[in-house]
Amino acid sequence: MNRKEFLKLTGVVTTGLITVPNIIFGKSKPPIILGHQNKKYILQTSWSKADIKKFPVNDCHEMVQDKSGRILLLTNETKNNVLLYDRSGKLLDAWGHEYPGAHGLTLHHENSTDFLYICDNQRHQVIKTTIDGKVLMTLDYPKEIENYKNAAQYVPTETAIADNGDIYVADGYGLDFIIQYNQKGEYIRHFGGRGTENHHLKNAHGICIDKRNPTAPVLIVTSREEQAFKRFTLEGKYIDTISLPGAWVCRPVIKGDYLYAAVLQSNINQWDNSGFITILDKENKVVSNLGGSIPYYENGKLVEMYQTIKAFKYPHDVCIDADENIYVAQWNSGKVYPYKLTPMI
Amino acid sequence: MRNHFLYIICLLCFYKVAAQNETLQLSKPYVSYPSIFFRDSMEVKMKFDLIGANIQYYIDNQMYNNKKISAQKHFYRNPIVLKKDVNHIIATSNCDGFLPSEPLEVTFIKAGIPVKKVEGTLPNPKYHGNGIQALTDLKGGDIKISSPDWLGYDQDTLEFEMQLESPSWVQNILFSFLQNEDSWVFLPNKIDVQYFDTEKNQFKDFGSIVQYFDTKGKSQIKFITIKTPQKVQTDRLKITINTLQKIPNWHPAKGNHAWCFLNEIIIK
Repeated sequence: MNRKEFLKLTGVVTTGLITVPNIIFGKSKPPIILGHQNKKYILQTSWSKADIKKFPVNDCHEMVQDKSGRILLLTNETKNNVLLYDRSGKLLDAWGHEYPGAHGLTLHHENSTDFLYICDNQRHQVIKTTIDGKVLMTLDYPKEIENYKNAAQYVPTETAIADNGDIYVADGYGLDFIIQYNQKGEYIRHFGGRGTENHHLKNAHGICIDKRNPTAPVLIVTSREEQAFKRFTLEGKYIDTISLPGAWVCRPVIKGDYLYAAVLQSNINQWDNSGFITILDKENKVVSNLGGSIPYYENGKLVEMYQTIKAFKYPHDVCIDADENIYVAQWNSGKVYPYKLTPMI
Repeated sequence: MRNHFLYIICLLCFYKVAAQNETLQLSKPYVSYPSIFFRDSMEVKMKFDLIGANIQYYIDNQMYNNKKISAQKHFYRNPIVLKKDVNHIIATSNCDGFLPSEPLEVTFIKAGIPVKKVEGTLPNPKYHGNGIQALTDLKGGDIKISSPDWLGYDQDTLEFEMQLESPSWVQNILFSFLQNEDSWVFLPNKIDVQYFDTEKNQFKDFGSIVQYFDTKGKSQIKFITIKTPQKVQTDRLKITINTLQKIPNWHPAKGNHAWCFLNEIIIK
């Protein structure tokens, strides 16, 4: 039985579970299936096997997968800022005590070696480390930009690293600029910032480089208060806006042809545990909402989205592994470990 | 065959884990309306885009969860048309396999006697909203303190004089306040209303109400109504609102001056 046959069988058994779960599992509930169209997933809330007493978490902010397949979680719990798991949820390692405002976690392959970029919004710094936590470089607030008078104005939330090593820092809780540095951390330019024009940003919480069109990579930047992503060239020229009404989106995460994003909360129901996960196709059209309303367009415009199932409280980031499982890190959600979502075939 | 058996065992283990999830609750229905205040009639639209789900609602009963439910339960299919002076809607989302949502509760208020002019205490500049005329603009319903519908006050006493378009028979004055104690926004301590007696050419007492703050209240738009036993004819009203000067001891900000957020005054 190859993987494909195995997954086919999985699909068959899933259907069986929905209809006659108790025959097999006694009093257990049937699996919870979230999502729409060809992007449906089974929710698993007890993925992490870590001992919460030994390895506590506070806000679980972001997650990435390294080249050896490990899943890394960044939390602002300074007993262990970074937890490293295998895909089954077994805790493999933990490190980090010096990141009280650990928020953004980006992994970059540099000459076939993995490096991490951590945004700490209490230290007002971006820190580049090895995969096991050795500090290699620190970026302080950008004195080259006259808008910044002191470090407190700089509250970075996310980074994206280009193939040439350029570092893009999103100052999402600060002045909402995107600041571009070269590989050495030397300032190149900045763009975005607060305002009302298209190229401005409101809560530039996340950023990624979209290489789905390999001949023309672009930056996708979160403008969370506007419930939108905005696309820019790698030189910072505004291209267009991907409007996501109702969705306070966090960082965009590209895997294959799809863009995935945690939605911190629904605009209609703010600060009431109303988050969900959204998935966009290659044309940047929403095709599925996990725990959210069925996405549909009227006259080419996406109709406002909102949470329907309280599967998540405040999801903050997603990580998609090589088998397209989704791991969900949550902010302010009762210090829970990440959840896992397994795709249905 | 052995491999097949092992795969099935693995599969069952996987689903055993997946099947341990507890029953999830649904979110509240999505409801849209331009304002909770309306002139003659209004339509309220609700939706809940989950396959197999429905919206059930009650209208005009004040209680829920088997406590004195007197109104009939409806299944939402078409927009709800409101015409009465006060319309209280309670709605839940429901779907097999999920717990029903928490109730969504919204009260809609019909406009009252037209007001020609309002004068009085200006709000704190941080929360000036759409200005003092916002008290009669029939806009409201947003619970966020940042909404321009709200006028935010941190003074001890607020005073307003309302000039009606013409002499009218008045029995009720309804105030729409915000209650959000986590944000230091409390209901007022006391409200006094006087009406101008045109025959005797002087202001007379219309009514008053005092609030107590023994326990924490929920975040909501709170309507407070002052009613006279009998209608009075008048063309002017004087309103005095005493805000809460000291936040109670049970609150983390005890001793500080509370905020008072007001967005509409309806006269009937």
